[in-house]
Amino acid sequence: MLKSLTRLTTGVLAAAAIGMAGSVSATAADFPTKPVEMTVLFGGTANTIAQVLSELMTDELGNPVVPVSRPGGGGAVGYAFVQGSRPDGYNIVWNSNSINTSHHTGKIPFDYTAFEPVAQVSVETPALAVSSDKGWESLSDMAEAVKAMDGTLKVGISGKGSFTHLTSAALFDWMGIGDKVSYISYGDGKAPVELLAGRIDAAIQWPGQFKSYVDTNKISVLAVTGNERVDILPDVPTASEQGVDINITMWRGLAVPKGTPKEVIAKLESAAKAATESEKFKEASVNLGFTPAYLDASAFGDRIAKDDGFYQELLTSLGMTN
Amino acid sequence: MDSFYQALQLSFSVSAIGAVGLGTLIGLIFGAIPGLTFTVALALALPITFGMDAVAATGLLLGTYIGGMTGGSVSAILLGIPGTPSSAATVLDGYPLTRQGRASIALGTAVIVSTMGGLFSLVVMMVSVNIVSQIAIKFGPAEIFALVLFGMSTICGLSGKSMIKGLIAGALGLMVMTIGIDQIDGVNRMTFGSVNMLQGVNLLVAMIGLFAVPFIIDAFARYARGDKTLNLTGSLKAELPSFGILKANSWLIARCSAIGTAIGAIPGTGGAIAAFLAYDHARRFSGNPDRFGNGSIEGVIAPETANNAVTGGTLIPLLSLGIPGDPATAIVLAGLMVHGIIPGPAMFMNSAVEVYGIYIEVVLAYLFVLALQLLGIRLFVYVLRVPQHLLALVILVLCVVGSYSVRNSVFDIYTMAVIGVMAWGLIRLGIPITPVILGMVLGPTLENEFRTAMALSDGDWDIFYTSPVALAFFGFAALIVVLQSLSGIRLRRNAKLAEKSNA
Amino acid sequence: MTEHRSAVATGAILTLIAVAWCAYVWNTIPPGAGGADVGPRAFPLLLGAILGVLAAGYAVANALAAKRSPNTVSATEPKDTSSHGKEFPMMVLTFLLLVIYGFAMPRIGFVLATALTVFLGVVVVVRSRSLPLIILMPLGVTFGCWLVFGKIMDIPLAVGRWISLG
Repeated sequence: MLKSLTRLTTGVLAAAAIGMAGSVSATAADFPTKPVEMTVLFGGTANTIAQVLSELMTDELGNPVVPVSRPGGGGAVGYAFVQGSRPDGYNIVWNSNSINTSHHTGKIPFDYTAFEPVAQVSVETPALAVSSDKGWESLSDMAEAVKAMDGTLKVGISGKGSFTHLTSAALFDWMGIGDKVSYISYGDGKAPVELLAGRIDAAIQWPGQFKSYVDTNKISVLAVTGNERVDILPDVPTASEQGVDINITMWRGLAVPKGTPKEVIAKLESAAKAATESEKFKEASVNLGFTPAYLDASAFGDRIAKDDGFYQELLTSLGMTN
Repeated sequence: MDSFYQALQLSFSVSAIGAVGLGTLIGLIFGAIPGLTFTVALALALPITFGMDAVAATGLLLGTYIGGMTGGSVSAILLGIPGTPSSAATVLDGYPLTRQGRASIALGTAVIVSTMGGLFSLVVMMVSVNIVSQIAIKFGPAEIFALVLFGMSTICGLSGKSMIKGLIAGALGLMVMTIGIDQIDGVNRMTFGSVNMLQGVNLLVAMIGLFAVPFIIDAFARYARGDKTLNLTGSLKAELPSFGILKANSWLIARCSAIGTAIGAIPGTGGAIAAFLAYDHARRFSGNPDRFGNGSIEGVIAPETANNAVTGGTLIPLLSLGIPGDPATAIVLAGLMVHGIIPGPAMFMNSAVEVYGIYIEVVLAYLFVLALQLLGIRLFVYVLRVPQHLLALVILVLCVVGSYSVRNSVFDIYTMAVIGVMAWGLIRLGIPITPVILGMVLGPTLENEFRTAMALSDGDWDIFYTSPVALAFFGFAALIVVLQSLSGIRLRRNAKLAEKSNA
Repeated sequence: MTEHRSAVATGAILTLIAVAWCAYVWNTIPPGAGGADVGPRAFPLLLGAILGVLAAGYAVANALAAKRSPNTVSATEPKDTSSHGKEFPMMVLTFLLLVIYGFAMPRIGFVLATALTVFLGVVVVVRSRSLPLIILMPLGVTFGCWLVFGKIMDIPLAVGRWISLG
C-alpha cells in the first residue's frame, strides 16, 4: 500500500499515456515491457513463497511480477487459464507436481507438455510424525509395531490424491505396511492437532506444521521423505538413511505456455535464478519451511518428465487414474 | 514481565501504531464496501508486511482482520448486503432499522458492542489460552459435526412464518456447496465436465450474489415504476446510541461475547455460525421475540457482539495450536510464519514478546475501530443520500470487482450473477435467503467432519453417541427443533382462531 | 387461492429440480469404497432427497389447503402484487449487464469493460437523457475504481486479451 502510494503519482501519469496490450508486439529482447502475471494455484505456503519470489523477481526484471491467485479445482483452473493465454511470457504459472497429478486424475485435459519449463525454484519435503507416547524412534520400530498390531494404522493426510497421500502410500508400501493403513483426510493443516489428541496414529504433513510440537516434545517426527534433511528439523533423519529407499519431494517452479519465445524464457529463467539464490529468499525459506532449489529450464523439464511417469504409476496402483 | 515491557515498547513505536491503524482502515474499507471482502484485503496486505519488522507486520494483519470483521456490519445495516458472511445475521434486524430511519443508532451500537465483544474475548484468551486450547483439542470431527448440526438448527428460527420454506432454503444452500472437487476423495461433483466448475462455488461469491443482486434489481425496479416510498433521509441524523441501550442489554452482550469466544476457539467453525447462534439465542430469550426481524436493536447487538468475540477466540487455536479457523486467519498465520514466528505450543516460550505484542495490537486495533467507525458514521449514512438507482449501478460494479478478486476468476462473475438471479427468484416465491447462506457456510464443514468421523471410527456410528460433547450438541439441536415446531403449531392455531373469530 | 396455487407450482418445480439433481448425482459421482468410507456421493444424494421431500411436502400441503378453503385468500401473507412491478424486466437487465461485464472483462480489460457496463446501465436501465450523466458517470466510476482498487489497493484487475488500458 505504501509502495503503491508512491507509485500512484507515476501511475496517474502512465494512465494518461495509454499502454495498449496489442501494440506490445515489440521484440522479445525488450521483455518485459509491462507487468508479468504469475498465476498462483494454491493458498497457504505455496502462495506465500510465490509472493516472496515475485517481489524478488520484480527487482530483477524491472517490471512488476504480480502474483495472481487462481485457486480451485486442485490447480486445474489456474493451469487451464495459463495454458489458454497468449504465449508471450506475460502469463507464467507457479507450478508444482500438481501438473502431473491433475492430469492423471483427469482434472485437466492436457499434461505438462502444454507448458515450457522456466526454472525450478524450491522443494518441500513431507515429514512423517507420530505421537511421542507411541515410543517409536525409527521407521523400523514403526514397521514392526504396525505389522504386529491388530486393525489398521490411522494416518492423517490432506485429502485423497493430495501430495501427502501419495507420499504416504509410497512410503508405507516400501515399509511393507501398505495394507495396514487407513487414510483420514483433513483440510486446513489440522492433522498435527488430531495426532496430538490421539485420534490418529500418524500424520504425513509438512515439517513447518510439526516444528512447534517437536520443540515441546509432544510429537516425534520419524523421517522426512527426501534425500536430504530439512533445515527446520535438522535432527530428523531421511527415510533413505533408515534403509527405506524413497525420495519424494514436492518441487515448485515456473512454467509458461508452450510456444513462448526462447529469449523470453531465458530472461525469466535468469530472474528466477537470481531471486532463488538471494539472501532474502533463503531467509524466507527457513521461516516457511521449504528449501530453495534452483534448476535451470532443461534440468527442470527432465525432472517433470521423470516425475510424470512415477506419479502415473503410483496413481494407477491407488486406482485413482482417470 | 520483561517480555511484556519489551512488547509494550515495540508496539508503541510509530511504525507499529501506524501499521495497526492502516490495517484497521483497510479492513474497514473492504468490509464496508458491498462486494469486497476482507479476506481479499488480507491477501493483499500480506506481501506489504514482508518488508516490515515482525511487530508492525502482525499489527497490520491483525488490524485488517479486526477492521474487516467490524466493517462488514456497515453495508449489512445500511444496504442489507453483508460485507462478510459473519455479518449476514446482522442484516436481519440492521437493515429494517435503517428503513425506519435509525441507521446511525444501529451502526453506533454495532461498533460499540463489537469492540466490547472483541475485548472480552481477548481477555478470555489472555487468561485462559492454555486451558481453552486443551479443551479445543478435544473437539474432534464428531464433536464439530454435532456443533455444526446445532448451528444448522437455527435455520428453524430464521425461517419466519413457514418453517418448511426455511428448510428448503437451507437444503438449497447445502446443495450448491457440494459442487466442485470433493475435498476428501478428490472426486469431481456436479461439474458437467467443465474445468471452471471444478473450482466450485466460493462462499464469498455466493454471498455477494445472494444479497447484492436482489438489492440492485429491487432498486432498478423501484426507479422504473417511479416508486419513491423508500425515504431514508430520517437515517441521516448522526445519533449515537444512548448508554441506556447498552446498559439494558449488558447481560445479552456478556452472553453473546461468551458464545462468540467459545465458537471461535473451536477450529473450523468461525464467525458466521457464532453470529447466527447468538441471534437465535437472543430471539429465543427475548421478552418480545416478535420484534426480531422487524428492526430490533437486540438483533444487531447479538450477532455483532458474537462475531467480534470470535476474533479473540480464533486467536487461541491459531497461536497455541497453529490451526487457522478460516481463510482469513490462515493468511494471518502465513504472515506470522514469514517473520519467523511459528504458532504452536512452543510459541509462548519462543516468542513471548510477539505474543504480548499481539495482545497489545488487538487492543489498539479495537481502539482504532471504535474511533474510525464512530467518526465514519456521518460519512457512511451519506450513502443513503445517493439516489438508489445510481447507487445500485455502482454496487453492481463493486460486486463484479469483488467476486472477480476473490479468486481472479471471470467464471465467478457468472456464478455470482446466476446465484443472484436465483436469490431474486426465491425472494419472489417468499422463500427466505438467510437460511441459504447459513447452509452454504456450514455445508462443507458438516459433510467433511461427518465423513472424517466415520473414517476414524471405521464406519461405526458409535463415534457420535459415545462422545458426551457431541451428544450434548445433538440434544440442543433437537431441543431447538422441537421448541420451534411447538411454537409454529401454536402460531397456526392462534391464526386459525383469529380467522374463525373474524368469520 | 392464487397464493396456494403458486405455492403448489413452486413446490412442484423444486421437486423436479431435486429429482434431476439426484439422477445426475447417481450417474456421475462414484459411490464410496464401502465400509468406513461414506464416499463422495452420499451427501449430495441425501441433500437432493431432502429437498425433494420438503418440496413435495410443501406442494401437497398447499394443494390440500387450497381444497379445504378454496375461497379464503391466505390471510397471513397478503401479497400486494403492484409493489413488484417491473421487477422481471429489471432482473433480466441486471443479469445481462453482469454477463456482458464478465464477458468483456477478460477481452477488453477492466477499464473499458467497466466504462461500457456503466454506460449501458445509465442508458438502458436509468434511461437517462442527460448528457452529463451519460458521460460523467461511466468515466467517474471507472476512474474511481481504477484509482482506488488498481492503484492504491493493488488489486490485480483483469487484463484484456484483445486490448487493455491502464
